[in-house]
Amino acid sequence: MDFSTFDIQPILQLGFYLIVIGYAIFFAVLFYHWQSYSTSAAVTIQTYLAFALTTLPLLAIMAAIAFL
Amino acid sequence: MLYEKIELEPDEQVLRTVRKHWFVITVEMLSIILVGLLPVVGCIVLLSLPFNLDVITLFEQNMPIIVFLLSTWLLLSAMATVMSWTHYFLDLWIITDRRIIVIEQLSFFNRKVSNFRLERMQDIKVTISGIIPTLLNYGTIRAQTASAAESNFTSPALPDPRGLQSLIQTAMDARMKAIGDTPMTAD
Repeated sequence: MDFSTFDIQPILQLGFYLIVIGYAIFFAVLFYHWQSYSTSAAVTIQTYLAFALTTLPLLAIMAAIAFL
Repeated sequence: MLYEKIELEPDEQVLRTVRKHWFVITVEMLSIILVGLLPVVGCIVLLSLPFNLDVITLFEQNMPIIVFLLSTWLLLSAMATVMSWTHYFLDLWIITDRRIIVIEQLSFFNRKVSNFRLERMQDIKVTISGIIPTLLNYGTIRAQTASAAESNFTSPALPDPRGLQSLIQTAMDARMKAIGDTPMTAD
């Protein structure tokens, strides 16, 4: 299968936008739950950090592929 | 934070907060991580196979799409892992000297909070079933209250269930003495 014959870039960009929207909704829900129901501020911060450190590089890679 | 939302009675003391055993969340998160890494490992294995010029050509021609799809898959796996951790951490028992507060975070939009007063508690049963639960000392606690049948509660995979049973029993007896009633006997 060879995708080089047509421009895949717009599809990747659309996919990226959809993923970012889904990611933002997910993070908002996650943030609300941890802020409302967590029993430990330290664990809350560690969870945010771990989530950001694992997901933001992936989003950066996807953005680079979709836009560069 | 949660403790600010739970209105403890005057002089009510939290004796212990309990979450499910660490083994349960470890297995759950490792499973998600392994499934997440599966396509990445698959690609590496495919590329490392000898005489696979067609696969290498396919990868070279479509590298951006493959990396984009792999990143998406890894992102979804990371989200599933955090979701699993969230459900584990927000799901807890708070045992006070007057009641047991059972908080079940079943999913992001399904949360159940129940209060069971110690003086209404009638029976507490502990079940440790299987090799791993026996070795790691975790099990199910079932408690029966004097209220309607739906007030009975069951929590699986709690660490040190016999210790918890003993703690609750002691708290129940102390509570009964405090309110001037006869302590109930346990099994």
